Amino acid sequence: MDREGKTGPVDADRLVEDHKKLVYHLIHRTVRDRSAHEEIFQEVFLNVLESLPRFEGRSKLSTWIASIAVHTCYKFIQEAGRRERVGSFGDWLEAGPEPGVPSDVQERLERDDIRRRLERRLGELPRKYALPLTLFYLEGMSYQEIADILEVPLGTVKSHLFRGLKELRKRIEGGGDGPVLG
Amino acid sequence: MDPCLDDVFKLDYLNGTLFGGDRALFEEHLAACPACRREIAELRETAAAVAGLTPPAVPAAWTAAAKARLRAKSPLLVAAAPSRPISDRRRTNVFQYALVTAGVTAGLALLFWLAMGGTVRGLLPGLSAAGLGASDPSVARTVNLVVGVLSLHALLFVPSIIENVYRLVRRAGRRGRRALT
Repeated sequence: MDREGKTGPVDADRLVEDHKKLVYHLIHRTVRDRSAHEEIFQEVFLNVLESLPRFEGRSKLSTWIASIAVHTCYKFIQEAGRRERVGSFGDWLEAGPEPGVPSDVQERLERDDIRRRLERRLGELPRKYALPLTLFYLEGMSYQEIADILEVPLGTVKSHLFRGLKELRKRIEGGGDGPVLG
Repeated sequence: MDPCLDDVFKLDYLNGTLFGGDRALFEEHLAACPACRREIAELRETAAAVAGLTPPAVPAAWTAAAKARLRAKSPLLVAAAPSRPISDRRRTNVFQYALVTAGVTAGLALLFWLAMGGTVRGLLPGLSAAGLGASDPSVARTVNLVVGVLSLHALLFVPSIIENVYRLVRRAGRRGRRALT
């Protein structure tokens, strides 16, 4: 499988190397329980491998893998029943991260620098805002690609991006974080 | 003051995806609306802060474990083995191009020869109607035509034949070297 989506013998190393950052980034943004990240990371790539024969090349390979990553996170939390009742995929996107983690040590480390504080505020946003913000501003994906990954209309992506930025701004200003911005 | 424009306008303006008349309309509104100017400035700052975040580094052990699991999972998988050196590939390509060029040139030369009134008899005396013992003029013409077409085909296949012989020789050489080691 190459970047254009042509099928052929799979180069496992290249598949992982080319997409590991995107996959990890999405897991990091979607599942707050860091002890589960490694297991989900492996699971995503195994799911990608199993689904590869069904990939038709209608979207970019990275968009398709991102979609599998998000759904794997959802399924993982759903099956593990971790600290939150998980409804449909849409309900799950609407919700914020599962409570209770990260640990006190991580919290303390995060308080130590501005970047980590911003990271934390972003991580506290409902997934419907955090994922579009991550995919658009950090992964450089288009509105349409994000719509495909999250299975929502294009207008919803734009609306969530805008509200996500507003919400993030509000949380930073109201969260006593000090000068995170500007 | 104009009524404030839709949030989608603001987002598209912010992200540089608002064009043409819509952009002009929005900029006209911005010039007259301090609240929207402030909002855009704040959102631009927030977006820049998000874009400036560094994605977390993937632990090397996870990457290695994922690769190992993928390789173990499917017989279709191939590890990233070192591919043939580029110089080797280039040599083969040059050889193939040379063969194809030679074949095409020979074919064109033959066509030119026939078009200029040349005969197969002149080119290949043994492979002619007379050489094959055809005395009747209509049979001789047919034989000449068939021999001409076959000769042209043969010439076009020459590169392929040479290349296959070359591959067989190389393969035999590799087997021989492997047997010695």
